[in-house]
Order: sequence, then structure tokens, then C-alpha cells
Amino acid sequence: MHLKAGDVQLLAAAKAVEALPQRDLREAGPQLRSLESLRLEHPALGCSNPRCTAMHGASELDAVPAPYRRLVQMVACAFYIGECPPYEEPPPGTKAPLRKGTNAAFPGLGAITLDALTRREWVKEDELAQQLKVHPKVLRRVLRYLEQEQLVAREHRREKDAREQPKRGGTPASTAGPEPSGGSGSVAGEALDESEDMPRSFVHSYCALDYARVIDVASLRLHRLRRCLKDAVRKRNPVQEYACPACGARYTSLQALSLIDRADGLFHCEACRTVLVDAEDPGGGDGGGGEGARRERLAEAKALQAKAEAELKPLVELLNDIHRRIADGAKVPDYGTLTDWALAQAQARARAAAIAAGRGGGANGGPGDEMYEARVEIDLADSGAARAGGEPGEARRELPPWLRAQALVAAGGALPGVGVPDTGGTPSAVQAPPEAAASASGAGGRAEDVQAAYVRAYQEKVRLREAGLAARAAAASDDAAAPDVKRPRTDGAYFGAANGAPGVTAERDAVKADPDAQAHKAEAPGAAEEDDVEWEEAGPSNDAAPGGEDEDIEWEAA
Amino acid sequence: MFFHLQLEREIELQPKHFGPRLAEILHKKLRTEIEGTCSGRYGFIIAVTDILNTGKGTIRDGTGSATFKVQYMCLVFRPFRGEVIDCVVSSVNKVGFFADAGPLQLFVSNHLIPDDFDFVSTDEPAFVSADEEVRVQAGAEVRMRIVGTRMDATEIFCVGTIKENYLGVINPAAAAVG
Repeated sequence: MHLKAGDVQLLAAAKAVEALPQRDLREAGPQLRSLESLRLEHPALGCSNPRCTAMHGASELDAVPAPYRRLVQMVACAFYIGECPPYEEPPPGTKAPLRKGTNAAFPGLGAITLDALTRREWVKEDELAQQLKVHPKVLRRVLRYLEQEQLVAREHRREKDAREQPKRGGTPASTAGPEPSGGSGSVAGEALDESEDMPRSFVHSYCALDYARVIDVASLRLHRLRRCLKDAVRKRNPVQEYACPACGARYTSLQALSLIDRADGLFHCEACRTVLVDAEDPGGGDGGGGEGARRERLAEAKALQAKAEAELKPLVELLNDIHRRIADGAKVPDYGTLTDWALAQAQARARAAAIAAGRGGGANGGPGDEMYEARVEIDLADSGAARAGGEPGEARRELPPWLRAQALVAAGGALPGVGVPDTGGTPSAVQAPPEAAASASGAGGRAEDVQAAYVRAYQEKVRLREAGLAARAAAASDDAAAPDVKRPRTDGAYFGAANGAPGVTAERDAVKADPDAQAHKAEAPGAAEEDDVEWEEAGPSNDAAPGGEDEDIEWEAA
Repeated sequence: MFFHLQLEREIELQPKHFGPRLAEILHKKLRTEIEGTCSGRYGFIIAVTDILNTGKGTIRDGTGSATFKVQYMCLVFRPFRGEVIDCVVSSVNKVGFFADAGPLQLFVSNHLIPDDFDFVSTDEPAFVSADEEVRVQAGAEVRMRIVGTRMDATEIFCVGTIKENYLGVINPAAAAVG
């Protein structure tokens, strides 16, 4: 056994199995039942089950050596050929719980899934479901069970689905797939604008076979199975248990001295003096247990053990062979985690593309591409370009909700004084997308009047604040005679000054790191400051309370 | 399994024993108190073999008696699980048979008797093999393996098995004697 370091899960599973077969054959029921359906034929690929032979005929991957694939297939045929997960009979008198998804039975799906996974590496579960032509929910149930059985490794990623990303201003109804937010009408359109603009992300699950674990699990399972059968033949628990049929008290043979009644030579309950019966064979009666029934059971257990040994022989031989290979230094196929695998795939693709001396490895929608891109996504040039281009998506995120409507109206009403401030402190968020503005202007005239009035008042307030700030900036410029690079600037020449200063704040670093973005900002200061941190601007930010500004200034002066 | 241990015990002696025979009385009292007892920790104390040190007695206020811390060597018998032990069958019944190994009592349930043994109660209750050559009845010497022990503070009880190779009746003649 080659346990992975710190493999707590397997140990837990081992413990769980350890606890399993203590109680005779009844506990071994599921395993033995699947053994009944075992159809292993040696040395053919695994089994003579028609369903399995069909799937075994498929093409083989070179990456995974044949013994490992055969092991998985044999394990699948041996233990997962039935319903997967196995249907558990509800306790008598209780209603059978409905299965999630569907109540239909899918016998053999576990084996089919395992076999399909031998020909794949990490695969998206939905795609696998499509290929296997089963409902994703059913497949997920199977995979969840196989994951619990430690055969399959699964990972879940939150991914942005390209199909789900609507264009700005596009109708959400045009997107395919499930719509968690539901089809929102135009009534709530503005309120939901923000969530629609956010790229939708969904959790995608990937699965792959964990061959090392499969070997361990198969070895462990076989070991436990054989031990269980052996224990059934030769009783493992030597201390006999006795139960009182009247009061239910249980005793062990260690208490025999106090239980025995010398008069009749039987065990009697200490409480009610009822004759005790064998706890494991209550039908035997009179304290001794049914000798005949016990022998019958033993004979059955022996037959079962012999049958299991015969039928499991190919699997045992294969496992021994694999263990021999591993001892000789052979490596067990290991795909690693999804991330590692995806990166390796992306690198391999890039290499292949470089060798082909053509274009770079094109993104074909695989998980590797997305992850690879996710690594290099941090690019200030993009955001700078977005700012320079007047992309309002960023600004909109920061806009308080009570100003959203005004911003739309202001953009629709083309109020130039608001859109082009002289100090650069005016929120550029007022530059609303034209389509949104158009929709706003298309609203009722009365609402427009009210909004226009509100915007006028707002504009007036902004001007007043700008005037006040200009006065403060003039006062601050006196202090600025002694240059302090660490002090946040409040004047409009902030970016120009920051250009020459060594990176003192994160923002300045970012700006410095990206001269293009800086250039954009210098060209269009109003648009460039839309997502700056507020304390840096200290401009007439609309949502900042005057008190907060004062604090800012004081801090600045200190 | 037997052990030779050094143990210590406080022995209280009444003033009437203070005299030239104090040591002798002390040893006698120790043996009386100790031998044949059972402790969950050490097992059965079979015999005191030597008294190493009696120490100086201390008079207890009020009573006038003296207590001596006596160090002694003793032979103890402690059964262990897995140990093979010879014992004598004391009683046989349908559920199994009881046997004694010195102070130790053991029980062998009918599940731990070989399958070819059947309980016969016609003459004397016994487990008789299929060929009727071997009889497990009261008085027979049986070799068994201890498969379970229960140790209380003052009592030890064991469960044994004769369902293994080389276990079972070793001296049926003892049955006649017994």
C-alpha cells in the first residue's frame, strides 16, 4: 500500500471499513451481493458482462498503462456493476425516501462511468454526462458516490461561462442556460442592471480517476472482504453474547459465573430470571443457540468464501502484479489536481503551438485556457484603456444607488457642466451608457422633469462643493511648497506629480507600472479618476460627507 | 502466567503482639492477609516467598496499634489473553463448561468447543466427540487458550477456547479420579 502522505481520508475510510465486518455476514451483504454478480473472466479485459464488454472495446489511452485501466475496469465490474449508489432498503414500516433527481434505476452506470473515466483525464462532468448520454444529475450522483468510495477525484470551479456573458446592453433573455435571477422585466431593469452587467459564473465540476487511490482502495477492500469472510467462517469475536428475550438485557460469556443457574445449567437473566438466548442466533433458544443453524451458517460461509476466492482471483492477481510493478519503481498514473493538470495541458499546447511555428495555442474553451488566462488576467493596461475609452462599467460599480437614476438622466440630458469638471473631481459616473440613457429618456415626461430638477439641484451642489474645494486646494498649495511625496495630492496635477515620484502608494505604483494607462489618465483626467480611492482625490466626491473631507484634510496637514 | 514480584503492604499489629515474637507474628499476618487474594493489577497472589523489610513500626494515635510497611517478594498468577493454560473441568452444561486453573475460573462456551463435539446429558453431562473417544466432563484436564479476560478489583474471570489445534482434553483419566 502506498498511502499518500497525510492521507487522512483514506485512513478514515479504512476505519469505516474496519468497523464494518465485525458483525458477521449480514454486514458483508452489499459486498457479497455484488460478488454474486461478479463475472470476471481471465485474462480478457475483465468481465463477460455484455454491457462491460461493449465498453471495454473502446480505444485505449497510451498515457495510462493497461494494468491500471484493467484494474479500474475489474473493480468496476466487481463492485459497481449494480445500482450505483446501491439502493438501500428502507427500514420496514418507513416510507422509501425519494431519490434526488429521479427514482429510475441505472444499474451498471457506475461501472460505465469508471470505464469511461479510464479513457479520459480530467473531464467536465456535464460533458461526460453528454457523452455517456445520461442526465447530469444522475451522473453527478454516481460520481459523488464514487468520490465517497475514493475512486474518483472531483474538483469544483466557479467559472465564467462565455455563453452566459451578455454584451453590455444586450438582453439577458438572449443568453442560454439557466438564469438564476430569472427573466427580469423592464420594470426592474434598472435595479438589476448591475447584476446583469456582472459576468455570470457557474460552478463546474470536473472529475478524474485517482489511480493511486483506486489501488489502495481495491487492496483494502479485498483485504477486508477476505477477512470478513474468514471471520464468518471462523468466529472472530470469542466472547459470546447473550440477550434476554424478556427485558432485552445483554450479557457476555465473561459474566457466565453470575448468570449460570446450577440447577438447570442454563444462563438466566439477572434481572428477570428469564433464560437467555444467544444474541447472534436468537432463533436457537434456550441459552445455547441453535447448533444446527449455526453449522448451516458456517457451511454457507465456507462456500461463500470459496466462491469469492475463486471469482476474485483475477483481481487479486492483477493487484499483486501492480504492487510488484510499483515495488520495482513503476509510477502510478497521476493527473494531479485540476489546476496542475490544466496548467500542464496549457503548457503542452503552447509548446505544440510553438513547435508548429504558428499562432499561439488558441483558446478552445477548455479549462486549461481559462485557468491560464486567469493567471495573467491582471493587466492594468486593460483597465486604463477602459477608463480612457469612457467605459462606464467600472464607474457604475462605485456609484451609490440613489445617484444611479440621476446619472442616467444626466447623461441623457447631456449636461456638459457635470460631465467635464475642471478639477477632475467630478464623478465620471455620470457618463452613462448611451443605450441606458436612451432608455431613460424614453421614460415618461413627468418623471423626466422631476429627475431633471433633481439633477439641477445636484449640479448646483456639486459646483458649490467644487468651489469650496478649489479654495482649500489653493490653501494646500502653500503647504505643498515643501514637497512631500507621501502626501496625497488634492489638486488636479496629482498624476503628473506622481509620475516622477518613487512608488509610494499602491495606486501610484500601479500607475507607474502602466505608462499607457497613465497617459490615458493625463489626457482625460475626468475619466481617469472614476475609480480612484476617494481619499486620494479629495475632490468633490458626491457621496463623501463634508465631515469626512475635513478629516481628510486634517490628516493631510498633520 | 506467573511472576515473582516485590510488593509492599502496610500491616497493622495490635499492642498485644509487641514483644519478642513481633517479627514472626508480622510475617504470619502478612501471609494470612495476602496469600490467596486477587488484585486486578497483579492477579492472584499465590504465595509470599520472602519478606525483605518490615521497617520501623509507627504507633497510631488513639489505638496504640503499630503499622509496619512490609516489603515482600511474592508469587503472582495473572492470566493473559492468548495464554494457553491447563485447567480442570469443574462443571459441564448445555451452554459450555466451567474449569478451574488454581484460583482462576474459566468458561468455555459451546461455540468455542470443536464442532464435532456434542452435548450429552444422559449419564453425566459432557461434551463428547463424534467418535466418542474424547469426553469433556467434570474432572477432566483440559488445555485451553484464554480468549477473553474480565478483571475486577477482586476477581478475575476468563473465557477460553478449545477449538484450536493441540487444545482440548489432555488427561481424561483425571475425570475418573475427579
